[in-house]
Amino acid sequence: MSGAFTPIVRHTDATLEAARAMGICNSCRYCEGFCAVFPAMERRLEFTAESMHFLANLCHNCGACYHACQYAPPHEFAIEVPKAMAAVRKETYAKFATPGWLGRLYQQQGVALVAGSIIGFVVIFLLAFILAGKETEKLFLAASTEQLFYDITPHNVLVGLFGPIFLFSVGAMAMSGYRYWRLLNGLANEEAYPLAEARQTLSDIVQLRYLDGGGQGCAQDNDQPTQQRRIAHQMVFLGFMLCFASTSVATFYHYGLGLVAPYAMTSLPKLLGITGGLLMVIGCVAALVQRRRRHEALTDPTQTAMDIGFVTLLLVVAVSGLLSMVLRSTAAMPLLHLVHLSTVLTFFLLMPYCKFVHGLYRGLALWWHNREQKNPTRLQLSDG
Amino acid sequence: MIDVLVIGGGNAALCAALSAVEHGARRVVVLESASRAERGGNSIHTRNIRVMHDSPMGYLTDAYGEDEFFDDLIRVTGGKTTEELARQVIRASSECPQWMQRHGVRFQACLGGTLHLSRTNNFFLGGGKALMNAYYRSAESLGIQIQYDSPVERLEIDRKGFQAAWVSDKAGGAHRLPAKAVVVASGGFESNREWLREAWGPAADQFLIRGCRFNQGVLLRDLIAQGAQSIGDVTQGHCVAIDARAPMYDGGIVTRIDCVSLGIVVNKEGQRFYDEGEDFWPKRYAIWGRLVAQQPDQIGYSIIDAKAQGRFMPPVFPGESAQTIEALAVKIGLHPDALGKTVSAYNAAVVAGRFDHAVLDDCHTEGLTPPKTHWAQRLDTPPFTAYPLRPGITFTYLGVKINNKCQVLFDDYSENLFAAGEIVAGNVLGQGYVAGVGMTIGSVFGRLAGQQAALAALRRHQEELCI
Repeated sequence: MSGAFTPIVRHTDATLEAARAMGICNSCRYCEGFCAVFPAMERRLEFTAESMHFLANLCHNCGACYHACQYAPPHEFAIEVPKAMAAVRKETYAKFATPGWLGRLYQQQGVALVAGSIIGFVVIFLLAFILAGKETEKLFLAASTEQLFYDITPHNVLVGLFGPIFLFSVGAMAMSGYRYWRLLNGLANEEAYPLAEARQTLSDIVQLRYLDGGGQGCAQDNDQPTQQRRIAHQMVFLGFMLCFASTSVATFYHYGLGLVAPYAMTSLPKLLGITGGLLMVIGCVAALVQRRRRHEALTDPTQTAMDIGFVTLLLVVAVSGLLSMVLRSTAAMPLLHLVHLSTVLTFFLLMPYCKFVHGLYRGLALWWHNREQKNPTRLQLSDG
Repeated sequence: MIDVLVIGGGNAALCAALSAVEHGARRVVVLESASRAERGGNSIHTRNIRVMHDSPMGYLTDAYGEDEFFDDLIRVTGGKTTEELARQVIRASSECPQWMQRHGVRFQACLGGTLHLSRTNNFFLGGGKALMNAYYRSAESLGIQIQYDSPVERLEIDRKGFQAAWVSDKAGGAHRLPAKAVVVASGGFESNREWLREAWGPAADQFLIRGCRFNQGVLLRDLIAQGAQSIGDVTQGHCVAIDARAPMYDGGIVTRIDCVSLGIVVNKEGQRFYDEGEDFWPKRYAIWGRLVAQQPDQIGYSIIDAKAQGRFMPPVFPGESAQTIEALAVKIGLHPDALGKTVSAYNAAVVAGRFDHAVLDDCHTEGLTPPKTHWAQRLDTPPFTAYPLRPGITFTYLGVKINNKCQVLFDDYSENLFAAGEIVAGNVLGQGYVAGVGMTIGSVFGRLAGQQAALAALRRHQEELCI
């Protein structure tokens, strides 16, 4: 039955390399205190393709284990766990994508980003010009009335366009998540403790517990641990959630309370959106600067396009959103507004096929890890 | 002029350099023979330090007092230690963890499979390389100058003490580097195959080196040649049985084979040669290197059956497996009849008992030579698996004699020549080993040598001013 839902996972070069590393790490175990990967590894003696798709998504790429590794190059064992795990995660994202054939988008990251952006921009601008009809000049005019916002893009049109795409993307990710969860459940029969697992997983995510290399932070360009990456990530994460909350509140205002946008600067949607937007901008810029300085041994070179492209997309979404609000009474507003809508549409389209999904698989992997840790190990390794 | 010159790049060397700065040395230079990527000597393979403590301390549980620590040392060394220095090391060890943390070292709970050490040994978060990274970062931030790829070929010593070190350069020459005081922390000689051969004979050709390839013992030999008193036996050291397929250097921890006490060990003739169940494995693994070294061609095979699978720390290389003992013998190149006979005799001698690997159980053999005194179970459940064993040298004990200020002893002590780390380990360890004590010796004597070198440099400085 699982075959119908769960993709058949076979070893690939990437999973074999990561499994080779785990085989050596499992005999060493010095890195056990850094993160979730090593305690999960210690419950195993064999590293199947399935278990590698689990372990790889537990890895937050903090880099602590690389710098601490006595077997890292130039040692002949040439262990590079962060890089090996990153390569497997890329395969998880592609393998579990829904529909499956779109998983190829994750292997052609540059193409996916460019195609998504083109579609986003073409659709929005085409729509705007069609809706404007003969009054194209409206698109280049300063807002003279409160209503201009919806003159350019009527509310129902926006909902009609973004709603189904958003629902499709969320549905696709839910399906992917379900199939990944099935894979995790196939690893072993572990007793569930749903409440405790949920609490622990939520806490792990909110704190980004495993991006701190066991309490000291995460390496950047050298072996010095810092908290910079964790802070940048959580700014983007929190900012994104606030923007999402802003949109949700606004939707409720619109349909539930009959209050139509634009809202006052002191309104809840505005406050949430502005705070979220600013956090995203600062966090994304910090993340991009850090990415440039990252030690090359910690990253998979075939994923540079996605790492940078995804954060840049979030940055453009946030910047264009903030600017179209700040410059709402200038002639730049209509165009900025359209750019913002285009990038949001691009984001919605790409959501299941871009780096965004890392949160889905990592969240589920952490959940499974927390379940495993509540169960006693099946191994009877003795130190005597 | 350099105040304190530190020769070496491992734990003792960095402890000395950091301590020298803390005690007022202004210009401190570290000469590491390895490159930046391979720095840290054998310390990168370590994972904990044995620490005396009178009450729970951080991750260390309960108490581990001076006398108990000293008793452990007496037990493993058979009394071959210098009590004054051993007690000095033990007492000072209690202050090490705090000092280490000040320099960025972090600790963690004892690793999986090492519960027996949770009371006595403080584990470094991420192991010895993470520890060394922290020390190097601290050294750089304190202005200590680190020179990589800088092996020292000899010391210039005259009646007034140490004058200068001669540092090899890539062109094959050497340049002179004078300093007011020096700490020699350049390790033992285990990577020097010729020296091992002098000590062990041709058997040394089969030895694997668990640590780095840089410990050539150049300064150990140089110091002894210039009149330094030596201490320790050239054949003593930490020598364990490791997987014969391990790399020649730097195999480190993963090459250990932890299933010896669960099965039998035979030599290339297919004969057993020692009681595999004499005591708990962590207490016995350090004698098996020597035992294998005494066998023909210095090779042994640890043989287990399916009952033992999953009961020991996973080895890094997969074992050879077969459905019968005879087929296994063929696979590993032993005579099938010889191995078959050994296993049959062993199986016949096993007395049924209650197997429990966590205690010294009552499963043993009767009427067998050598006996297996605990955990003796018949090898009767296929598949049978074999792991080849060779002697693996961790470190050597032959060193230079020091006093309680880490001053190297010639006819008299030398005013400004100090030593620490593996090169002086023999002052405390005449033979045997107890987990984590190498790092205790390195940390305590490293810090002390650095402190004393800083003071010696200051004295030199004042003497110069008076003149």
